[in-house]
This record gives sequence, C-alpha cells and structure tokens, in this order.
Amino acid sequence: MSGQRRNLPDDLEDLLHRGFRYALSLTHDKSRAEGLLQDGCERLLKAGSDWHAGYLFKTIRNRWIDLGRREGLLGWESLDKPGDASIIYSENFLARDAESVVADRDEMKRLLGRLEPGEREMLYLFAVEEWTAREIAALTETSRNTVLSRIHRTRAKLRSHIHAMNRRAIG
Amino acid sequence: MKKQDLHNHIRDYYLAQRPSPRFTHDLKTGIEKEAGRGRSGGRQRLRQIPRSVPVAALVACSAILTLSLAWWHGFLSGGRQPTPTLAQSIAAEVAMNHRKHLAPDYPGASIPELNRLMDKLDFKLQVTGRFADRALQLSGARYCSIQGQLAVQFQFRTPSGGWCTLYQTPASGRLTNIDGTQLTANGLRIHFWTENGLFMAFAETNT
Repeated sequence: MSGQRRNLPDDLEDLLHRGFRYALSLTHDKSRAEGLLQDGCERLLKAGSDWHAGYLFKTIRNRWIDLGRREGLLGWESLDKPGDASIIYSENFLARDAESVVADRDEMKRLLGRLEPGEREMLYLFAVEEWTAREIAALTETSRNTVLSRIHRTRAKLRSHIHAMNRRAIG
Repeated sequence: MKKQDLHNHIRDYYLAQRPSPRFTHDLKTGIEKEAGRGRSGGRQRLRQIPRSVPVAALVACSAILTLSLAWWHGFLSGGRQPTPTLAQSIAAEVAMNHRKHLAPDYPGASIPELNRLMDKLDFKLQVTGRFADRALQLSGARYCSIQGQLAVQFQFRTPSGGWCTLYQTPASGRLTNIDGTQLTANGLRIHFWTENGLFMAFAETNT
C-alpha cells in the first residue's frame, strides 16, 4: 500500500459528502457542486495532500474563485463593510442572536439562493461544519471579526427574508 | 413547517443534500484507485469519471466555444446569416445547453417571481408573445451565459410532453446583428430575435 493510500480516510465517502455540501454552499447548484468537488479531489490527488476537510475545502474554494475570475461573471465581493472595525463581535453575540423562525426546506433553498456565495459559505461553515470564526477566517483569509460580523449580517438578512415570506403567506 | 433556530434550518437543509449515488461511487472508486497508484502514476485521471451532470454550467457554456471541427461537419444552417460565425457559435451554445437539460435553479416560478428571485441579473426578464399559440408551460429557469454574457435559460414543457428552452440576455451590438436568424444546430432548430431590448434564442428538438 502506497503512502498516498494511507492518507485516505476511512470515512472517505463522508468527506466527499461534506466537500459536496461545502461546494453547494458556494454554487447553490448541485451539478456545479459535483464538478467543483471532482476538481478539488483531482488537485488533492495531484498534490499528494492529506484528505482532510480543511485541505479539500481550500482546494474547492480556490477552484471556485478561479472559475469566477475566468468567467468574469461571479464577483467575490469584499467581506469588509464600513463600520465593521468599530464593532467587536463574538460567538456569544451570535448565540444570543438565535431567534426561532418558521421555514421548510424548499423555502430555505430559495432563500439561501438569494445570498451571495461568500455569505452562504460562512453560514455553512459556522452552522453545519461548526467551525469557529477563527477557523473560517483562516480559510477565507479574512479577520475573525469580519467573519463574525458577516455571519451576523447574513443571518439578519435571511431572517428578514423569512419574516417577509411568512407575512406574505399570512396575508 | 418547523419553527426552530435559523442555524438548525440551515443545518437541516445542507445535511439533506448529497451528490448522486453514482457520482459518489465513481468518484470514491477513482480516488482509491489513483491514490493506490501513488504519485508515480502521472497525471490523475478522475476526469474519466462520468458525472451525473457535467461540469459547472458556466464553465460548460464557455467550453462550448471550443467545439471541434467534427461537430461543425454536422452543422446544417438555414435562414439568413448576416454573421454566420457568431450565429453558429451561439447556436452551438444554445444547443448544448438545451441538450444538457439541467435542473432549473428556480423551478415552477413565474416570470414576475423570477425577476424578483434572480437578483444577479442586470436586466428584466420579459414575457414574449411569440409562442402564445403554443401552450408552452414554464417549468423553471436557471442562470446561463451566451458569449460570456450573463443570460437566463427558461425551460418549457410542450403539450406533447417534449421540452424547449428560451434564452434571454441584453441585446448588445453584436447580438442584434443576428436578429431574425434561424439555424439548425446539432439536431435542434434555433431561432434568434430581439424584443424590447433583449436578445432571445429559442431551441426545441425537431419533430
């Protein structure tokens, strides 16, 4: 058995599913997520890297940015907004931000589709992968405070979409 | 509908998402095979894995521009062709996207709803009266590109159970040059026209 085979995790299928979901958070399109995942796996193989979620996510993310730049269609908007630096956020702040809302899975898909790729990405890493803000900041090459403020803003945006949707349903 | 914390909604949604079983199986098998060969195996060959659906739609749209000459051999054109190369190139894109029949990003939405939901667009989608007598049923829409320009592909079901696709993108100078052109590309009849400032393309399988 080669060195590379030893690098493969026992739960490779689970890692592939996680890679797919992360790619889906960027693309919001299943076929494109499969394409990104496959590209990411090819690059890991070529580089002989370890098969960890962090490496896989990074290769998927780099590939996604390359594609966006090449096509000139998908911008990667700046994460920082004026005023961010003056507010210090914390994970505890986000925990207090937890308000119950009503939505089903189809509605969530529709609502997530209205977010920017970078917004979905951070929500996914924070809510599903349960990465810390510092870990997300390392992957996305930004500051921890920017990550936290971005998650806070994105959640507020999503919640307002849900409230508007529920109001329409009631009305 | 469940009432719960937003994080739980997000978790529920993403944890329910998986790649197709065939894709997962083929990818896993390919990785294990290639990893077993070690680095001396040369260029990795995961490209041979059949995907349930091809590469990212945007990449695929651009890749069409590199279609081989072999494809052009089977290309039969008709109608007037003021700029044949551009028309044929766009027809190839349209035909390829039509045949992929990828799932719409926004299924079941009406055009007003799509205008609200597809917020990456810098133009308004429009209802065309061109096929008012065809009783086509809109099944959804997805982002696409034509000649590198952001576009939308509408998917319609026909009364006979077939399907056809309509593309809309802002009518730029070059695109208006092929207004009114009709071509047959890769077995599909393609119509181009401009309407209210939009360039439109329509494709359906010849019957």
